[in-house]
Amino acid sequence: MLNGLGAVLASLGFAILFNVKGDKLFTAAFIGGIGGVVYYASLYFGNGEGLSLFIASIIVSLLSEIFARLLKCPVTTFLLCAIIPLVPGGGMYYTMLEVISDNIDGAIVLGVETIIQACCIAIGCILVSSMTRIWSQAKRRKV
Amino acid sequence: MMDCNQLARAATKAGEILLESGAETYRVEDTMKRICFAYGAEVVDAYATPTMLLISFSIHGELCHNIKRTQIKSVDLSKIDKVNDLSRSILDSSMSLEEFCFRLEKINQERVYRNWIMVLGAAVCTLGFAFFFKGTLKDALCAAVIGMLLKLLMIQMDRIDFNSFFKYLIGGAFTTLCAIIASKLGACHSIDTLIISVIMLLVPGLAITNAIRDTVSGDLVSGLARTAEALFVAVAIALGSGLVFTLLGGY
Repeated sequence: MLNGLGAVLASLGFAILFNVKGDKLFTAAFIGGIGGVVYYASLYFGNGEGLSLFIASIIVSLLSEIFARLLKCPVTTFLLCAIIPLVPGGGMYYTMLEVISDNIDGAIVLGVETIIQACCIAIGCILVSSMTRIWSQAKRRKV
Repeated sequence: MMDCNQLARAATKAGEILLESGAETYRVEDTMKRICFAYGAEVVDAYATPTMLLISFSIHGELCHNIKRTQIKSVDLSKIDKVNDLSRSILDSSMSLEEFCFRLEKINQERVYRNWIMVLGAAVCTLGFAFFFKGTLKDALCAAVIGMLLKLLMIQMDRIDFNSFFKYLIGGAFTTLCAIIASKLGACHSIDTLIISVIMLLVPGLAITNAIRDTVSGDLVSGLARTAEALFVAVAIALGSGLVFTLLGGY
């Protein structure tokens, strides 16, 4: 689980690269760190890779939406920096290794796995942002 | 009497800044509409894709349109934040259109972080990823150094306006080459961890996130365009790194 804390540095670095400034920098790093820890914690409790990514991406999106409203700035500011550590870069790399070592079967297995993992993250994000959309529309109608 | 042309230009300029700094489609359209409505336009339609902006509105019975071709430049989340705030504050502070244009121009000319901070950011980033992918301290330090070199290379390539496929291909190849050298020198524990952590720097995070958010909000054209961009970059990175492995005959 300690490995998850690496995500703090990773998100912080990306926030700098994307020119985020001030206290938002550290908020983004904080959200990224929580995402990383949740991901490893879920793996530790025996959940699969896909489910863990799904849970982590839900938590990250949710926190991003909450902090964006608290600090009055676009959701992307946090979501972008915090979701990147979850992207299955390892899967992409190992797929490529299988391809160049002429092991097409392995490449297909790993490739499909990677795509499924990416879909898990996407579904997590979609779920949260659709829910907040419905929620804010319902609020507007009441007012 | 509101100047129709000036309003069209101001709204398009705001949209352009947003789009070029990497905002989602719905935010771009929303901001342009909000600006026009705030200055008294009646019927407003705005349309944005990653490469083009369209706006059409009527004011005092006069019909006005503007088209702008845009290019995606560097990601700059703080610009998005500021333009967003500015467009929301027009109504509250009853700002004149001249004042609005002036402030917009000021935001546009704002400096990004200096290059050396960017390079340092890249180092922090890859250091973090090395730990995230269960690397040792040795791997992490190695990744930080290669990350810095890679960022320097990318900054130079941005300056001479490389095409993006080639840019990421070279980025992937350069990373792999450096990692192989590092492992031959015995500076790292696991070459796989090293390459993955540095390559994460090139991952098209913006394209992926925006593709998802655009698709959710129903902007399918932009969603598809950004998905294609993400796949394109991923293939370029894999190709570059695979090329080096093949040329050097494995490791």
